[in-house]
Amino acid sequence: MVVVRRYGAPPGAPGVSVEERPTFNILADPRYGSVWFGGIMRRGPMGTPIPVTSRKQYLEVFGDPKSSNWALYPDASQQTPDAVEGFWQNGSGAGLLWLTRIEVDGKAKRAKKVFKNSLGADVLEIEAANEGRWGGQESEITETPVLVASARSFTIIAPDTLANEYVGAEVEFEAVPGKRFTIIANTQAIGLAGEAVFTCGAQWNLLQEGVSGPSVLTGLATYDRYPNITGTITFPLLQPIVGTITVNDNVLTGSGTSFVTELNIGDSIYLGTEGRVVISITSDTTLTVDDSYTGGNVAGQTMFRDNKIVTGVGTAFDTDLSVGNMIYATIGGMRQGRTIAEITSATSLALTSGFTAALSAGTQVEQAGLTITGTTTAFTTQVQIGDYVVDPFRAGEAIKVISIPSATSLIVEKPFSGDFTGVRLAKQSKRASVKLLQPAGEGLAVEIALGESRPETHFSLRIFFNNSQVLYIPDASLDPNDSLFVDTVVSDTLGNVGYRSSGENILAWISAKSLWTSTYTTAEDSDVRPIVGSKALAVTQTRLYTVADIDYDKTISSSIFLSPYDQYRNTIRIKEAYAPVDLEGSIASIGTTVNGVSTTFLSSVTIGDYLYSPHSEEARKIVRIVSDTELLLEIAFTSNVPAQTKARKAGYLYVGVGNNLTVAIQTGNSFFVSYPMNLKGGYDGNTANMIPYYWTKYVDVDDNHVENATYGRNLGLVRLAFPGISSITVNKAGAAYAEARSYEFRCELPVYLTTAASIESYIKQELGRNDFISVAAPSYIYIASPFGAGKRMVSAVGDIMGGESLFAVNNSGYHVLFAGRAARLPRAIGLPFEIGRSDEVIANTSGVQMLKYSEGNIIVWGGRAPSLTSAYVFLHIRRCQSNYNRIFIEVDNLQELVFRPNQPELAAQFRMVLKGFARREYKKGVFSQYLTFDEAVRINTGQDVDANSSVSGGQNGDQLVEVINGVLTANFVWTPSGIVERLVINTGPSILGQM
Amino acid sequence: MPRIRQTALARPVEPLQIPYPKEFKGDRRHPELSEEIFISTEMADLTLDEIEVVDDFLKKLPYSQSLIFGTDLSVIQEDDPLLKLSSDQIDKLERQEGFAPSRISPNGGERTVFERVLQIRVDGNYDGNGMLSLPAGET
Repeated sequence: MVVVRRYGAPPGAPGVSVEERPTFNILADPRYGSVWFGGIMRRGPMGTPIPVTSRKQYLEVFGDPKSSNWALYPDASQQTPDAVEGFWQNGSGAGLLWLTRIEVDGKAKRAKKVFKNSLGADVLEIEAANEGRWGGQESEITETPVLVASARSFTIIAPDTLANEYVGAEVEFEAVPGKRFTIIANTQAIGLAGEAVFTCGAQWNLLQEGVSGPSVLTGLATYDRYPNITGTITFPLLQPIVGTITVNDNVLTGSGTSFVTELNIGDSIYLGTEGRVVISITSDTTLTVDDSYTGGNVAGQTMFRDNKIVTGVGTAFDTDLSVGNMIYATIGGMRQGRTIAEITSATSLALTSGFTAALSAGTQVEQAGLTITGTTTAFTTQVQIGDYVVDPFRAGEAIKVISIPSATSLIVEKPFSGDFTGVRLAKQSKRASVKLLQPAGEGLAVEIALGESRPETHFSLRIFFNNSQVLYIPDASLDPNDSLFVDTVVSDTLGNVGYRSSGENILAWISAKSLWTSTYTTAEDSDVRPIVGSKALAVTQTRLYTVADIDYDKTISSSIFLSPYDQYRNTIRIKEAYAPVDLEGSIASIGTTVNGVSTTFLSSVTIGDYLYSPHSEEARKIVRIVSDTELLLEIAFTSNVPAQTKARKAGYLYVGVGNNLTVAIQTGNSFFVSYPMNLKGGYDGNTANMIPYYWTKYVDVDDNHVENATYGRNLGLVRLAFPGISSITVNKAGAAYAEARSYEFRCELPVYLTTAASIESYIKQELGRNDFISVAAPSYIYIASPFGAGKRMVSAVGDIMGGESLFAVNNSGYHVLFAGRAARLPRAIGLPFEIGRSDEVIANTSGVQMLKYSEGNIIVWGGRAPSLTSAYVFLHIRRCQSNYNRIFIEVDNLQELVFRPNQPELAAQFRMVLKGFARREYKKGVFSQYLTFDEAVRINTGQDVDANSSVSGGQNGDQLVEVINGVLTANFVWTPSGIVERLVINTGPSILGQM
Repeated sequence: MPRIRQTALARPVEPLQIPYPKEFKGDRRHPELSEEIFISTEMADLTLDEIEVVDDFLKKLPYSQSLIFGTDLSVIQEDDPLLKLSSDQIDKLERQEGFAPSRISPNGGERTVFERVLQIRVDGNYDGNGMLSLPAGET
């Protein structure tokens, strides 16, 4: 026999040695009752099968731990969550449920949010662990001109919009201010411009409400996308640096140079045509470059830098162009555009970066066309500044009019998509704003505060879902060298791990990504942590004035950290919060007097408010409002506010009477606010426009989704279903996959098939008979609506398969069917139809399990499958055989025999493993106990030592060939126990003798 | 591209997957992708021929179900003869067919021909029996 381990004295040495030989045991029982569901769900990892063993675990990964109803679709658009609920309710905790949240069109998005620190930098991205609106749905399209309006729909340019992304959003039109219309559908962005059509609910008629698309303008218009600039230009590629330069390795020393003003770090400096990059500038006469020049050290050289200056001849740069405009030159057949950084004169301007080649004197260049020229137009009377001109080709966005020089000339803000000539323009003055709001108390929210045990250097993350805390990370850091680095600590925290597969954590709630790449510091004034905070502009006993960029409404009931750098736990609750308000007009101040231009002080501020000066970053209390344009302050700003300053009224956080903030925080001190901030932009994909492929890809035999996930886990038979999907294509694909992998697929019948004859015809002619499927009719049941009064129709597969799992677990196998009076569906309160008793023969022989009323219950009545072969007429025989198939190919005990020498002793071991397994199955009643064990199950190996099959007996040379070729064959032939389908009683009076 | 109408089930009972009838020769939204029409309470894009199939199917259900509609999409084909009309010709058509005049925009000025055609096709549900014909010479 093979030795697998040796202990003690090595071979040849005196002493005692122990040789351990391989042992064996009977096959382990599989995990009976395993089920896989695939379907559309509101939450959960997409496209990844996840095992769950309880409703609690299911809700942690796929639902809301505080509400089992949340996972359901109130509009009944999807039924998988209903079936899962039925599985838990009828399975009574038995079985293992694998769930795959199917991905439809690959466009689903995860909600996310980027958090800034108090310095204003983006430092942390928190993303929902998986796609969908569950993480936060908020999204917005702001003030976009309406291109077309009809009674119920309107079209706007909204690139990147996804199909039905804005369902449930509200739209407000400038044409109908104050009124909001609910969106029930939207197309994805289409065409070159990215136009999307939004549909409003049927209760509104947008045209009657006054919403309209653009109106046409009289006359014809012409536009040149790239008009020539007046005059010609010259652009040398390089420009001499003022002064002369001595090169000493990579240090350049100037004479008469102005390095500080003329050059920037990152610029190139050329000696001849050889360029080096400036890496530091010490003074006007000293700088270093990244490398020495190949020509070596030289003195008194005229050196060059990249030119950015354009020189014109006959040009009028100062009147024709503006800073920020583009000019274009054609170089090598390609049009290159550059942005104007500065216009020095009519003949000189500077670019933000130079062209890639020199342009010789006399070169004609172009500018971005911003002028529309009309013929017989009436722009001055028909168009107003601020109106939008629609792209005549609908190939680009509508462009805002910024100036109307004449009846035949319009100046627009940006170029159109291309030239047009002699077209009738359309203008739109009204815009639409679409807002998809986050329902209050729903979605994922993140609250960031000081670290729990390391408040001086770390921060904490509290994750809320639907207003309940679901995860707490007490200490995290943005320092990748820290053991509590936020990326890893979030992904490794136990409560955030939904499942672990192939060495990777599949997260349940969030993932985090640090965006901070510089030094991690947490000292006051250089604190890079992602905590919202600012300096107090003013403090009273109950109010802290600030203009911090926070969502003031959401801070109510949250905490202010009053002294975050020394008293880490000193927090106080916010009772009310008022956001800063931008004031109309502009202001200037002299001492305590503030004068406004176009201001409305009388209506926009009150005495006691604090006026904020962005100039000195201070706020001062208003003590008197003299007029709409004059205010008096209690104390003057540190420096007078210069003219044309946009002023703001400071917001404040109110902590309620009985508190005195002034003892904890002074004006100018830092504070933090910790409040839940919602993630945004989650999208489930286009679940309205479905095709069978979205399901069938999960039962593709080659992709092998289920077996790849479950192989080697000794699950035995796995029963599969797509709850709520009666599609022929999907069900046939499920059946084919089940057959290929020895699983069972539970098909569903469309509910319109209400008679046994129509069901039989459907199975025979469309669905197709198959040993590896089971099917119940009706496939749907009514349950009491979990959302209130009334009933709800749901797929019955969850309830049935839960019961099957329970029976399988209770009986350690599949030889006891979930059928008959004990096979109740307790939550079912009704059936959409019932197969009549006279039709039961048709349904039963078709292999359909009927659902029927019995003694006030709804039960499963039938034990057959729509089998193709007579051997597998009954479900339990196919299930037992499929279960054995799965056990034998996956179980470790048999794998242990592989690569051992093929000797009779191994064959005996093989046989004994199978016999041990069979004995236990016999005791369970899997095999007919009308027979003895030896009669009920026959097990031998091809190379057995018994007289009839022994190779040693020389009776079968083929078996020896098999042995040499690495094959050890066993026969495992079993006689199933039958089930009682009919009780036959032969009875009658015995007047004439025996029957 | 076939004429598409946003369509959904009116009652929240169950999503349906409806096979095309074997003899179906009408327009399909996804001719290469599906042998069935999937529809639920979310607005799906269906052709008018598909809507007929769904409508027939709903009659077979053992419970009451009906359809609701959003808007029509891609209803204006590039070669739509109405698009070749002038605004004056559209006025004439509206008078002929008894449609509400659409020339004047509520925002001021005239509506574009495109928008007027859209309203005639969708809101007026006007198919012109396939082709529009105006008496020669009329404007």
